[in-house]
Amino acid sequence: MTSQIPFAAVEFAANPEPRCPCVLALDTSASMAGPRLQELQAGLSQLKDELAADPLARKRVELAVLSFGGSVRLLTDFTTVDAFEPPLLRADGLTPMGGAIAAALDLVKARKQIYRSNGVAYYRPWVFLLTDGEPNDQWQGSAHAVRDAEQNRQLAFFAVGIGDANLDVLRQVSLRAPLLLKGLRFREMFQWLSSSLKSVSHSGLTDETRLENPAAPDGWAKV
Amino acid sequence: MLRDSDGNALALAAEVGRGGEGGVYDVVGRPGAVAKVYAHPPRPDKVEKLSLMASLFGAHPELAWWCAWPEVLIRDDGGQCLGFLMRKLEGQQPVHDIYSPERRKALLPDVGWEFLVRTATNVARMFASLHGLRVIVGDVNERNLFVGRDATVTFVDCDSFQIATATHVFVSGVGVPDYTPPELQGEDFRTAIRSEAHDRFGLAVILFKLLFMGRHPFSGGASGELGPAIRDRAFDYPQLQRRLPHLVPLEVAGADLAGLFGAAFAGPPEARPEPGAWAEALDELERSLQACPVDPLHRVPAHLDRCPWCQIEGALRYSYFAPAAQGPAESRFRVDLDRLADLLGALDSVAAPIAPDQWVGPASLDKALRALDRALAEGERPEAAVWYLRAGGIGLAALGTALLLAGGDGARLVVAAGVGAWLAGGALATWRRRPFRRACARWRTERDELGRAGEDWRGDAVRARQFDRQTRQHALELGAAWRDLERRQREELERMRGDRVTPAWIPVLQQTAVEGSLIPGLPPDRRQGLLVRGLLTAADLNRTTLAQVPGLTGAHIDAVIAWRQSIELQVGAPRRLPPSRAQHAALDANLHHLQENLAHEIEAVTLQCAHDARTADTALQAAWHAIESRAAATLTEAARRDRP
Ligand SMILES: Nc1ncnc2c1ncn2[C@@H]1O[C@H](COP(=O)(O)OP(=O)(O)OP(=O)(O)O)[C@@H](O)[C@H]1O
Repeated sequence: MTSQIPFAAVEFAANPEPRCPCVLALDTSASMAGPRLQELQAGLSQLKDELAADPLARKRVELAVLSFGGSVRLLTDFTTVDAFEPPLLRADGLTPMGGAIAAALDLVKARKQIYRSNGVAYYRPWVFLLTDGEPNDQWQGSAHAVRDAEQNRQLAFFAVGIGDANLDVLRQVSLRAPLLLKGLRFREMFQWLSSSLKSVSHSGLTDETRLENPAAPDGWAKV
Repeated sequence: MLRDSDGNALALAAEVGRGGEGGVYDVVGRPGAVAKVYAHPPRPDKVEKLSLMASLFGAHPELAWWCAWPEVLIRDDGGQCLGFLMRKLEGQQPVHDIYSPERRKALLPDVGWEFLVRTATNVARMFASLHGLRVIVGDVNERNLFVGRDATVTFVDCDSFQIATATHVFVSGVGVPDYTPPELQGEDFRTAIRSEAHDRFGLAVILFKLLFMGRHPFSGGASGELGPAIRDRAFDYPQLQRRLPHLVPLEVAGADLAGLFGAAFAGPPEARPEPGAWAEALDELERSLQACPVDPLHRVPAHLDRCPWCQIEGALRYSYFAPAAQGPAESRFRVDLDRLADLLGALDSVAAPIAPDQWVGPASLDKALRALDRALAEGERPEAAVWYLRAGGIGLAALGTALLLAGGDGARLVVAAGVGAWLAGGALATWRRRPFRRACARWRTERDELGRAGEDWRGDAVRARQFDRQTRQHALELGAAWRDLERRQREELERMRGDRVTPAWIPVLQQTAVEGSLIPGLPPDRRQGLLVRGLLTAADLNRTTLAQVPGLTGAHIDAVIAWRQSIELQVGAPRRLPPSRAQHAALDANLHHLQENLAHEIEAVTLQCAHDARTADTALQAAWHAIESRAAATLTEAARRDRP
């Protein structure tokens, strides 16, 4: 007689589209201050605008933003693009990357549970990690968890280094070769991210072979 | 220079859309048409396919009713085909913006479910027409199908249709797993040859989404992915709908359509309904729709006796259809006490389980137990022969003792004979009673057990009565909540009075931006939600606009309204405005939902009581028979053997 209505039921009643969750784990350590952070901030707005211009992606892609600078903070929990507002980034402190990766994995896990309890399908979650340094905390455990999840096709993990980022560490975290951003090509990078998320959300693209190669000669990254 | 097939020069104007393969442009001087121009010149087989399609159009111009069909090829001066001309779509929305409730409410606020049913019918008819011309859609998906304000539908991206000649199949080459049938999951779309049966699966998915508020028939299960779920034929909406009662039940579409969906999603390819069957069933459904007395946008299929949308929306606290723009000048809801009296009267007329003392059984058990006691007592009493022997023995012994005291001869012999007779009496009694004693022990146990069974049975009967009383008590509480609706209506009206902004203060309130303001009781991330919904200043905030913001709880809304009122207070005493028509309509609908839910619950309690009483009576009756026949059997045995 009395019915069970799960948390967030209205959200999924209003918009029952399959979800395409993506966590942006952004390094906001002190070394990011200046043009890098400004470009990153602008990139977030650009990402929102480009995704919002696609009527299907805006209902399907869900963005969450984690920052790691000094401490790991959840700036925006998963929100569909139409309601996503880019959070304000502030640069401060060291680089707790291990903690950030663990938090991203937890976030994804909890979100999948919500999808399932609401009976809504979802595409493989993406974690997009951006860093310009090297971790100052324990990261090996998180690295292991990422590789595990990726191997079981439960996650697509992308790591992008900026400037002097320690790519060796990123190589141990990510099964996919980490990328090094060319200069300050944040704009191109977010354009790539938005068009990739669009194609994932359009077709349930299950292999990434159709993604554009960011490390092509005219791309925004090198391997 | 681009030219059409008659050699006329074409000048492209503004780009109207861009896809993976190229752009779509307006054409100067041809208002009804657009040109699709590929980024890379298409390969020869694609050109062959396009010219085949153009000639098919020549033979069947009615294709343009359903599709943005490639009507005329576009070539450059070298004769290379670069694209084609097609009908221009205007004012149409992709179907995913129509079946998704939130977008549909924004785009077409005044349409109800009948619009979605009609759209579905048109989609089915479109597939019927295309299949009739042996055209296979292939790449069925939510981005290629557009819906107009009049519920007519149009396919775009028709160059991906599958077209066959007698000798060659021009495949589609693309596809989307969500609409792909189980037998094609994991196949390479670039080479897969599609059949009508494949199309019928995708068609059924589109129809399902249109009727069931955008839900995909498969939820994706543990992996979340639709492709694998479809491959495993895990059509789990029926289960999901039992777990999530706010989903639109399959039954709302009626048994016929529910059956068609079952066949389409869980059956073998050849069992998938053909487009004509869908069109017919959907047409029937639309014709059976009736108005709901509460909400003007709600439509009730004739096979249901109450409005499913009122029920679902009441439980979910979300409206699948846009709230009525106009409403009554005052709240019209009246608590229906007559109906409550009827409902409670119906409950009263349900008989409670029979009371223990009204059963004739227990008295007869008592009688049986007494009879057993008597039989046992009787059996304990020794026989006359024993009495005589023992009494004679005592007499002889006494006589012998007297003689002994008198010093008589042979007195010892008399004493001995007396003692002997007495002992013999005892031995006789023991010997005679030996089999009977065993029986007695058994009867005694039996008697105790029967006594206990009787007690247990009484306990059960009493408990059934208690349980019944509790269930009825619950109905009385529901009745109290029902009467309480009147108070809630008063309170809500009172609360709503503070909700509307006095027009004179609007310019002042507009100066207070939501962004950057600290709203006590509202977390900053929720504040973002207000901004996203276009609630930018304090003047935009009222309960109606706030109700549209996802994720706000009642407490959040109260906090926001309190904040706005605090600003009103700062700028001068606010004059209180009566609630708006829309607010009245919303309140009435809400109270109506609550009353309906209570009615539903009281009816359920009534059914439950009747069912419980019936079950209890039957069970008690059966238990009683068992006890009775056991008692009777024991008694018969005792009667037969009551003398040793
Ligand atoms: N007949 C038409 N009238 C108006 N606009 C159109 C028409 N056909 C296509 N468009 C617009 O152009 C956009 C791209 O068109 P189309 O679907 O043909 O491209 P595509 O290359 O197949 O896209 P994708 O590869 O992303 O599916 C559509 O989203 C639509 O907005």
